[in-house]
Amino acid sequence: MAPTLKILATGSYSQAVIEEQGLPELKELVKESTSANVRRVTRFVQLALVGAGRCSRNRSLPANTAVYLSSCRGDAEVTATLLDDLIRRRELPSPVTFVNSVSNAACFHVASALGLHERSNFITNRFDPLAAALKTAWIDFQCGEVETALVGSVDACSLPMRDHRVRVEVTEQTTVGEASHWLLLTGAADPRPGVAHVTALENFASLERLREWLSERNFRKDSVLAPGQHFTVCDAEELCAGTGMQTFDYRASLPHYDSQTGAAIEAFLEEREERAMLHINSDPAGRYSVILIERS
Amino acid sequence: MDSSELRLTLKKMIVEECDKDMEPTDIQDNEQLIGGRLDLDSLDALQISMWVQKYYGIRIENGPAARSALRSVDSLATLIHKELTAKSAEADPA
Repeated sequence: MAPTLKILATGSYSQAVIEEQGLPELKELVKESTSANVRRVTRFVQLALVGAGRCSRNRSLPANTAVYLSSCRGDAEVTATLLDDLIRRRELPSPVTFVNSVSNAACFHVASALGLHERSNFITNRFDPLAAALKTAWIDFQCGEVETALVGSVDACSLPMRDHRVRVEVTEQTTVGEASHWLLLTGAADPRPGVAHVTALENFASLERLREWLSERNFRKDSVLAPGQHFTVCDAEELCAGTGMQTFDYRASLPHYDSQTGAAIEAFLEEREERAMLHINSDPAGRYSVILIERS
Repeated sequence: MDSSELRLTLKKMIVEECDKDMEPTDIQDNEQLIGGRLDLDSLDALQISMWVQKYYGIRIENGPAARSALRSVDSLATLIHKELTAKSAEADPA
């Protein structure tokens, strides 16, 4: 069954980080975005709160809104602190460090700040975290277990930048950043107006299978193909050849961070006129993930 | 460290460890810590207890002893002073 999820709203935060200037202060942004006085949280949690809060736009979400938070590496900073305490210093971590090291801590804080009581899931995926989270949410929608969901991805920077660059595997010349991208989703039958629909969430084990699927769908010039960060513009142009589809290089102005799929969706909705966007990502094993966004 | 210095150190620690948006001097010596105006909770209590153990080597036991010690900055300072005095007497019985 093809998924149809209605996107009610998007919200995001992304920022390049310049080591000499330190990490941008987020506490005030958290207050502005969520109206919540949140304390004892890590930078990763703050980013999650800013993005999710902006997505909810200070509107009251139904308490049964579920939270699906995805990330490529999770909260690396708190994990490093925890391991530093336990192994290098041979000390017990502080209670706050321990609590925040639980992967679902960010989901708890998002749910708590926005007054949500439904399920929450933290999903990690090396190559397209947001696509994995959308698929998980879709399964819950399909089973009738979820009616509204906040689905997001978060990537945080940590200092020193030298260590962060090693973790995210980029050179000193690359501008790195951090981001939080969120979608507020509901089922297609929801009468509230949406900005777009997610109409396909597919995974393919080979390029051949992806080509077959594309040829069946018959994409034309009313659509754009947005290459994910592990899928080159060249590959995208090759797939577009003969279809009339344009490639949409939304990544040119973005600093490097792990999950940029949410940025693609938001940029498409804000900057482009086409009816649909096909986001394609790949991994080193030659598998492909596809998200199709169609304007409402 | 004299008594007022110890109290100020504890107030700074509470602001830092519990991530409170306030000046240390805004905390009154006899102000209720847990659940009062400061709105500290059990995680804050654990955080404070661990700090006291780390910096003064004083273990605050669970239960009534912890509730009594963590009632206010005054009570915490009194406990630390008492324990440090006892330790000092043990180390130098003469």
